[in-house]
Amino acid sequence: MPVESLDFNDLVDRFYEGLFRFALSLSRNEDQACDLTQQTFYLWAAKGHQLRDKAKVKSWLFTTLHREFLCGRRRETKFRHHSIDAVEHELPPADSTVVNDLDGSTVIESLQQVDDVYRAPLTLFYLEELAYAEIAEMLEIPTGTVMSRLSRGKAQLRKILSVEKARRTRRPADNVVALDADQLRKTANG
Amino acid sequence: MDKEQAKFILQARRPGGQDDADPEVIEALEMANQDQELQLWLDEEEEFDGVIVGRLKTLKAPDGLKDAILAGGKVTHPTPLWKQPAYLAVAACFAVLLTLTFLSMPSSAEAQPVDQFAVEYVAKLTKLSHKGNNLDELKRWLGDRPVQVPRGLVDVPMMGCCAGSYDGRTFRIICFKPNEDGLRPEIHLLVFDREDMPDMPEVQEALLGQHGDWASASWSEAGLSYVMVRVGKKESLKQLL
Repeated sequence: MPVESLDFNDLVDRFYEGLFRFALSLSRNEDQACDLTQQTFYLWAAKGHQLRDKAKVKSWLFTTLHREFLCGRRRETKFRHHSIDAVEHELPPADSTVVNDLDGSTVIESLQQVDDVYRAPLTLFYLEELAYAEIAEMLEIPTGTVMSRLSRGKAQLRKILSVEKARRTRRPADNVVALDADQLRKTANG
Repeated sequence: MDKEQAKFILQARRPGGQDDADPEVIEALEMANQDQELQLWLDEEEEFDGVIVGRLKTLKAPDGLKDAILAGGKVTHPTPLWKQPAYLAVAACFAVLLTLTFLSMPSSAEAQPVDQFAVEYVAKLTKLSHKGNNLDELKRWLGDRPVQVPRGLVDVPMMGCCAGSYDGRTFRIICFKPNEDGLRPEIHLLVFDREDMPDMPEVQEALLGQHGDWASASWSEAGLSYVMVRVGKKESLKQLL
């Protein structure tokens, strides 16, 4: 069924989980993610009728959620800074075999550690809801920038997943090594 | 398109193949078909992306979120256009502009008695054409209509005159400067065409008025009408008539 003919219930059914995952990736907090998802649909209920091209409802929802997140973040006084520069040289980038051993929560936690600038396009890409051109339109950046951010974001994600994999597979006998990995992770988390 | 460019584009290709109709993606895929190294890279990239997508899909929203959204949606009603913040802001700006326009408009003289108008006009008068002592212009305007200066002002030196408008009717102001101390000792005589002031009484029945610190006297004589104003009591004007 085309999105323009979906009613409110259908829209929620179709998009709420994707929006929640996107929100969780952005906010790193489940409660905030729920709040952002709800707020997005309430805004749709209140203002959605103003959208002339109903085929763009999906973009509208993701764009609105992103804006709501940015508005909320501006009100915050402290920002967490994530950098994985300190661990980049320690571990090889993860490949699909590494990821196969990780669950969804670990993947989203790893996505949450990707730098802010890459996280939104990367999460949208993996949610598969929007094409790179639509992501560019939504984030109001050129398509080349989206591609560039996806490339760098993926590289970061692979590094983070490697660290995560190393942390989860450590053995008790590897205490010294595990401690180092923890320290690296703390550094990565700022 | 070289290999690096192809990788750059294919990294933005969703693993589900949703972008395979994109011309740039098509070109990059064709290149991968002909380049074994690029194809191997693409296979690994697709697999990695596919696993991430699959893992993300296993992440479920908390129980109750959907119900909460649906419940909230039922009590959230479309906001009328005129209640949108942007429209409210525009309306507020419009209201402010309207108010400012109204306030900046000259107050309607028709609803205001001419003596009251004269007092307010003179009180706001900051620059009379004293220096020019423009009596020639006054004479031209008067033509053959002689100004009947009040008896008490006959020997008082004239400072000058200027022109004004009351309800579309032109008048002249003659300023007299008596040898008196005080902040505003000047006496201003507003001279109108009598035709413009048909209800003005004769000088014997001049209307005296008190407007706070200001006093006024209004009358007509021959072909002209006069409104005399000064700071002081109205009795001080009566003595000049």
